Amino acid sequence: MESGEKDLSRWPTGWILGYGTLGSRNPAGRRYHIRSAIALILFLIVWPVTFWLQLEDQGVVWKIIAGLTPGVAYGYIAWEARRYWQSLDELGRRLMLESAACTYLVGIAAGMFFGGISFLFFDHPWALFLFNPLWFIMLEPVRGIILYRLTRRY
Amino acid sequence: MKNELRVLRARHDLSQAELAEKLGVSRQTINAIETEKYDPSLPLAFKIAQLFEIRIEDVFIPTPNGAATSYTDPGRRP
Repeated sequence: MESGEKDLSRWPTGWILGYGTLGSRNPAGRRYHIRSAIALILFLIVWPVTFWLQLEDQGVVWKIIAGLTPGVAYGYIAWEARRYWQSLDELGRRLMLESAACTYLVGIAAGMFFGGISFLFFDHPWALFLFNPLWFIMLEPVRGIILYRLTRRY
Repeated sequence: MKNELRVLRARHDLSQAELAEKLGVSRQTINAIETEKYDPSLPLAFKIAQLFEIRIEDVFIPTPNGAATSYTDPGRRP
């Protein structure tokens, strides 16, 4: 038995708090971090440029590219995150899924809370006030579909 | 659920990392099982038993009330 390893879980705190992952020691972890970083950097370069070009040029093409860039970039990151989760062992996957589920619940509650507060105290709260319930209405069916797919496994 | 993983690992002179590699899981998972914060899935439990060439009930000992410990609820001990 290695000395000093007794009862020490030694989770990679830096990775967990900094990137929301369990580290990059395995190939799948490295792949996720590298690819999602590239996607994020490309998004941060492409989106402002195309946004500026569509304002200057008024071209439909730039408008379409600017409009699609966030969805494509974050869609790709979500896809890579899913692949990363699948590469984890059973405890890692359980922790990631549980953290995502709790985040979803906290996000919904926080959205509703701040939406309500904005309705009470701000002059033009309608956007936030309407957006939060819409967000919930949009996400709940997505959650239902994911739950349906998960239940098909059993 | 109690288990003899730490004892078996020491008997075979394996580190947590070495055992984790043999089982295809993370070292943290081995640690969580050894400290009884996490009960492994049935396939992993069988894999552990097969690795040490013993019966599964010689590795994992059910508690009288049958309650399983949970990683997310480490305070709940039988």
